[in-house]
Amino acid sequence: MEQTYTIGSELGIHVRPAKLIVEAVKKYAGTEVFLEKDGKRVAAKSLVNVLTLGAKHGDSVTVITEGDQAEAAQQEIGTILAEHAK
Amino acid sequence: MKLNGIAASSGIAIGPAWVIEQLDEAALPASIEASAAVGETKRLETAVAASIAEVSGLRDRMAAEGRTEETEIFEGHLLLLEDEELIGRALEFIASELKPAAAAIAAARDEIAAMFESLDDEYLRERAADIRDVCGRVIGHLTGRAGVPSSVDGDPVVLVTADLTPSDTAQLNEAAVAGFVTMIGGRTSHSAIIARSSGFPAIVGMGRGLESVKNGQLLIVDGSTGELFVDPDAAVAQEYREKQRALEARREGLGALLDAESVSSDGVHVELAANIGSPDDAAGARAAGAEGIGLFRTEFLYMGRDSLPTEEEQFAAYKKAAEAFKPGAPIVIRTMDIGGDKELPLLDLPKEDNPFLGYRAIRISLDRHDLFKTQLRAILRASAHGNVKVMFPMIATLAEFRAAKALLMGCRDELVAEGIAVGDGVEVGIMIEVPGAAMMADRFAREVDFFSIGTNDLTQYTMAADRMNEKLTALGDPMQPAVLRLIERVIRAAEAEGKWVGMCGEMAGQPHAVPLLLGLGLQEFSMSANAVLEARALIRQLSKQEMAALAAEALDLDSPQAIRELVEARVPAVLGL
Repeated sequence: MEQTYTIGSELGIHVRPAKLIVEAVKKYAGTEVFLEKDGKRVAAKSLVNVLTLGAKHGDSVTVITEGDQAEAAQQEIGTILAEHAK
Repeated sequence: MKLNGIAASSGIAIGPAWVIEQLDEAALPASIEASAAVGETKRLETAVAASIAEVSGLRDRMAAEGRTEETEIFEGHLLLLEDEELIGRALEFIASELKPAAAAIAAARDEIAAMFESLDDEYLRERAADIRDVCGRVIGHLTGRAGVPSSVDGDPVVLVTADLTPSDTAQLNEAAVAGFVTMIGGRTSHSAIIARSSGFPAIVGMGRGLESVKNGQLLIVDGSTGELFVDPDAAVAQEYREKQRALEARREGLGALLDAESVSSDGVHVELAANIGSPDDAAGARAAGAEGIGLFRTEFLYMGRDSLPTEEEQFAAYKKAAEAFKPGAPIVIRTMDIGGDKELPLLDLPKEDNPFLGYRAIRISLDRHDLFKTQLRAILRASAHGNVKVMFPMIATLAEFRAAKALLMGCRDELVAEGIAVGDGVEVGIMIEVPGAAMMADRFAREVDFFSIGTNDLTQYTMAADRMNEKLTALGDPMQPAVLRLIERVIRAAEAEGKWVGMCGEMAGQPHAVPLLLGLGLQEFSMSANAVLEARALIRQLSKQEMAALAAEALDLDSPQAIRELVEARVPAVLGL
């Protein structure tokens, strides 16, 4: 499933939210999580990937989840983006 | 052989050289046979696992020592070592390009560091350094290259390296390391600051001459002069061992002054305080004999992080510093001094051609009430837990001081209305760093509770000499008579209004300056914690009255050299300090 978020944080997706996203993704074995921005898609289980996506304030970032726990993963990552990236 | 560099941290270290080679990556084998790929993959995984174990241990140690900043560095490093992208790329380089493990991780490092460096966010660009740091550790395991030793057989060693990374400096321990010398860096580089705060003798910026030093050669580091002796002859070695013993004996003698009063021979009391950069430093400052904090630099709360510090977080930091001292000990908290050379990606400040004369410190605070009020509220809340004072940096005009004080009072009223405890009669002072403020000191003295003279900036602004420019060291000397005259002016202005004056620049702890400052009537000297006992020993030998006469003579001289010679002639005790 897919959901798009607008990054509200002045700082974009910085180290702290990126770290939380990566740690969350690792909990959902069997579920693939990707982040997509401007047509660039990266696997969200890598801190390097999430950071170098370079999501800035006001950017639209789409969270894509595929697998058994797609819904739960989508919800958790959405929450992180809403809380820590605003 | 003798080499010279920049004296970064005083003291004498004698020991065998422990050379941390810059790995010549070009000399690594470029490719392997296909049959060796499985073995190289295993080697890489083993090296990564060893690095993870090492970094976990470091993180736990830093956490146990309450060193939050270092703990966070290592937590980030762990995530990178576990990162599938970084390690995955290296494994791909082995499998698809038949690179050996070390070359593979180096290639992954270069590729990913370049990705970070191409981002337009400065804070993220700086993360490239973390990638290099962790990959360097993995490469070290693969090539058997020495890192910072945690224990050694025999005498503690002198580290010889191009530069020390933050993760290297966190690993320095006295049992294994006597001191260090580096090729690059200056007095204010990270490694130099760490050396001073943890008491390792060090010389930085020695240049390529260091390349001739071989592992195991006997080295003598004189951190006060910046001299490095390589394989010294017996006479020199003997001389420095004696110097080292004398320093040691002196330190023990100074230990006896830990609980002594800072009082001149004719009974004038002064206060010796410490400058600190984080609440973690407060307990150490007290243990080193400081009677309080004369400058708490609050920039650490804002630097190298990705979100602004909350009121709670700041309150906890200020309270921790206050509670490290006995009740009533003065704790002077300087509001944020960001800008100038201290960049803050968080605020996205435009680059300036002339940052030292630019948009910084109080100039930003008065524009950014959101940031400033959060900090003022936290300081006021901490004032309920100790003798906390507020100090504004870079004040140039009375209007700035009045605006800052009005905001402080507004915050105070808000807190009281909210039923939150604040201290009574919190003192409000300014740093005197701008010559314009020094010229107006008599007017400021009617409105402030105290002055603290920031001689590092006051000197560079008065002499128009950038203190980072090594060609201008003589010009940017705080013993310039022009600077001393401004200091005298500020002290007299405060005396006329019955306000107290301190100093929080490096000058406050310099042996040649202490007699003059005592004579001029300075009441509070705030310095690096490790200089406190030396200053106390010196002050106890001096007569305030005699020093006042000495200072009057000094103000009539025309050069720093002449002033130093006069001080040495009258106060021989400063020689050799």
